[in-house]
Amino acid sequence: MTDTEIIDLFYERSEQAIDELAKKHGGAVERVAWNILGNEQDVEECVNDTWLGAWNAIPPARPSPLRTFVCKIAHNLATRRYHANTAQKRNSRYDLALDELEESLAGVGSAEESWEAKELAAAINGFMATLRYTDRVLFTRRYWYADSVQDIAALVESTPNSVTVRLFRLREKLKRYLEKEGWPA
Amino acid sequence: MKRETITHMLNTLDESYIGEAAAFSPYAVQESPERIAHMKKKRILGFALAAALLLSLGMVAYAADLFGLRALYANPNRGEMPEAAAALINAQEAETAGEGWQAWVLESYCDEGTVLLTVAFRADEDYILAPASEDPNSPLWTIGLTGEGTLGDYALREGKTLLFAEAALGGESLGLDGSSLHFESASLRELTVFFEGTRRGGVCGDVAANCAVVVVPWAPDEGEPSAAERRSLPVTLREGCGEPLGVYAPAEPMAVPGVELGELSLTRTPLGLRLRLRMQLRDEEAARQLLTLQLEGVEFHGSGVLDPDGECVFEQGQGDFGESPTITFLDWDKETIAEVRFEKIG
Repeated sequence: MTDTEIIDLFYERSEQAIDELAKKHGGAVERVAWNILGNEQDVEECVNDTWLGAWNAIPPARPSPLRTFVCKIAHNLATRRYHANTAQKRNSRYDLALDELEESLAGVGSAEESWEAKELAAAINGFMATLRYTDRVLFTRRYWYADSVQDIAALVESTPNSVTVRLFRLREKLKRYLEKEGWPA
Repeated sequence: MKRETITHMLNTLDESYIGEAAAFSPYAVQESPERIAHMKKKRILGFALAAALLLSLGMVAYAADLFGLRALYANPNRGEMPEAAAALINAQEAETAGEGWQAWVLESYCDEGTVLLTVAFRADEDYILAPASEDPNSPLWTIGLTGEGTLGDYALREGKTLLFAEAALGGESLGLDGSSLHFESASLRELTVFFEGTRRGGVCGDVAANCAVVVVPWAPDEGEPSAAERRSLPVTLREGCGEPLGVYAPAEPMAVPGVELGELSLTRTPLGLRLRLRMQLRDEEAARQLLTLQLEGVEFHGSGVLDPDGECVFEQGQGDFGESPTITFLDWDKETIAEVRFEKIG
């Protein structure tokens, strides 16, 4: 079933829409949630909440592409749950991804976190616009999807070592970009 | 920097990057010198190219009749393409061919907010054409066949090679924000790709763009696909002019918790009404409740983007909003957060 046909089912308020959405994009959504949460129960709840979010949003939304739309809902729900689970021991792939970024951005800003968050949001998209296609994909797969280095290496037909080095350079590039944009080093 | 801050930063990553990474195909890589993956040598046969060019004229007519842009645009939700837009559909002439396949850019439509394009593929009898979004494990219905089994099983049984194909528009002057692909199989050897993109245009004239065409052969008895063939076809799109209907200011800019409403611009494009509304984030927590908006009297059928800290854009609206447009803002339970009237200022 095409995305358009699935969205049409949502517009008809047919519950088959959820089944078809799960069938077509469930794997991608589950993967996003799993990479961030790394816990079966949390993942299951996050995935179900994602379908509910899609059900509430469509209509009136007619998202395109549909996969990005549901992955984004899942990502927002999963990261919210991730930070809420502060008492839990963390061991997800997202921890590793955050560790890497945290280390690179350790010296960047610390006074006004809420203001920084807003400014950083604009900065990160500016940074991405400076990257080439493959680098954008590498950065997004590692730090947004929280994919493992091994998985990314398989995706881009490279070796884990190459990907690790490339990611390191991208983090350095991000740091330099932020400094150039006026962020304190 | 706190981990929460980093998460927030990542959560606001532009959707186009998220979609791009989700749909990543090592075969679609555009910058070969920077590429870290090893790319096998392309196999291009001059003979096949020449033969394809000779055959192309008949194929274009055939494919355009079956799956013209106008037919592919229509769906039960948004109905038929408006006549004003259909009149702006341009026939394109770009074509290319490779070993055992040919591709033609058929028709295009472009206005300041939307770009549509159809591309037809045809393969030789040794191949089965399939959408590049599928793989050998995909079910048969993805190429219009009924019955159990996968594409790989079927291709193995028939002694054919799967040929995964896709096409997409790009180019800086196009100002593309996002896009989607729809595939229609006319037969096992004929496939039409319908590309629909949202853009930020407004030149009201010709727009230069590139149509990337990618095919990936995959013999079902092999674990990996063969080398991809990627072509870039220059196309010129003729942007239909929009008619600005007015700029409006909100009567109550702070009516929606968490955001400050700015100017509303409404434009009539050939595909319908285009809404652009500026917003500025004031309280992130409160703004999270905001799901979408509705313009009274108008139903939008294109994609909509609601950015609480930037510009909201809704496309292809049909209906009449009256003298003073009224926008209803809805939360995640589809309950009304606020109803705001806008007054014309320009």
